[in-house]
Amino acid sequence: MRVYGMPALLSVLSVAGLVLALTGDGLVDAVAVVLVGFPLALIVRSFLRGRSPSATAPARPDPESKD
Amino acid sequence: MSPSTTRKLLAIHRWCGVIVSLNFLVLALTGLILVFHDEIDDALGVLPPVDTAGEKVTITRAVEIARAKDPAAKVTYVFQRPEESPGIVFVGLAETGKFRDSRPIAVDLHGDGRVLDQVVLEDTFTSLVLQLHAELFAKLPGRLFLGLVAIAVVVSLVTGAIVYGPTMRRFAFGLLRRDRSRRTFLADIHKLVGAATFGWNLVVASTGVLLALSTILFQHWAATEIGAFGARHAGEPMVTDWSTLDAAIAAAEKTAPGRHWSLVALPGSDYASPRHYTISLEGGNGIDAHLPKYVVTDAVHPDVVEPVQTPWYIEAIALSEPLHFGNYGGLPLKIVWSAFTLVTLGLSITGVWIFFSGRRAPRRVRNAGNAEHERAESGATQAAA
Repeated sequence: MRVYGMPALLSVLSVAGLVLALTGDGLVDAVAVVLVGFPLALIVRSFLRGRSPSATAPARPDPESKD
Repeated sequence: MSPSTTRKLLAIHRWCGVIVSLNFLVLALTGLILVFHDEIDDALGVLPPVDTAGEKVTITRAVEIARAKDPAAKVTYVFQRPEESPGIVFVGLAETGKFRDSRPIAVDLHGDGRVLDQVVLEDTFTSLVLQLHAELFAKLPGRLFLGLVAIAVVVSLVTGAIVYGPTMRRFAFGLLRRDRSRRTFLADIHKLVGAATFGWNLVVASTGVLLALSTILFQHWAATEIGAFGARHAGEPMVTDWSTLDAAIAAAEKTAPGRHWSLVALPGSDYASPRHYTISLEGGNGIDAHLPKYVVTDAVHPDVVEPVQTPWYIEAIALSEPLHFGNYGGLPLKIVWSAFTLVTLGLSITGVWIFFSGRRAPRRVRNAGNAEHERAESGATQAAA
């Protein structure tokens, strides 16, 4: 389902990062931290972007309407 | 998925989240401290600097030195942490002979060997925080209770993920509506944070379930895999002459190049047969560094070393430890880990706020302010259509 695309991607990336960090040191750890931290960056981006009307957020939904 | 199924799952999601929220607050705040366990111990000077010059006393001698502190107690184990505290071993003493009741006595291996009375490992700040985090200061019952809390967190995460689909069907990921009621805005934050941190949360919560069960699983392992070695010598007296300890450790280390001993369970304790030492060997690179190997060494013939099988649940516990505490990928990972902890705390707080704001408000206001239920239903209806 389309709704789950982004959350699933973020979860797979961060869990991959967590496991990757178990297996290595140095450069591997650095890559792992970026993967794990990626969802946090998206949260921050959503907060920053929410301050102005955005192209990706859909028009204000009306819970009563049926499409 | 039918609207009534969605409604039921949403109710499970909310109740599980609200019931565990106070425990979750404690777990998150103590967990935040425990990520920096090593740094805090270093800063507090938990372990005194030991003079690295001078001849080391043997492990056998160290056990005798520690035992003199309390001759009535049984010696249960010896462990060392060469990275954190080189030159010191910790000898466990317990009246019951059980690991869990043991007091670790720190013994300085240099010179003639001496007990470091000032090192009380179980009373350090981080150790107390860990006892609160893992057992609520209530030993095994506390640990098992927190296992239930962790299961409720997992249930809340999974049901939350399932109802996310129907509720978000008509919205894009990351939507934050500031122009609506506070409840709508907080619900949007809750969904954004929940969706973004689902993977991390599921890892930390499910490893928490496993760690809560670790005591029981380790006891089962000791009773079956380690007990099998003792069964061969059933009826023979327990070995109490530990002069073979150093030879046994050397023989065990020889079987695993690149590893060093980290813990020896002595005959008479609950993790060794009455005839053998159980020795754990740590080291290696990558994932091996997180997976100790266990061998059993005959206490009468210390050159006879046999491996102990580690079933999947023992290896899973070993890997759960770093994945739960986040203390494995260096400082950058610890900082990201702390940020996740704080964000997840926000997830719990917004969830509880939404729960109670929905209950307190009169129905009319609730409907006007935010129609989350209705939204969930309409979304589910569309999904089902």
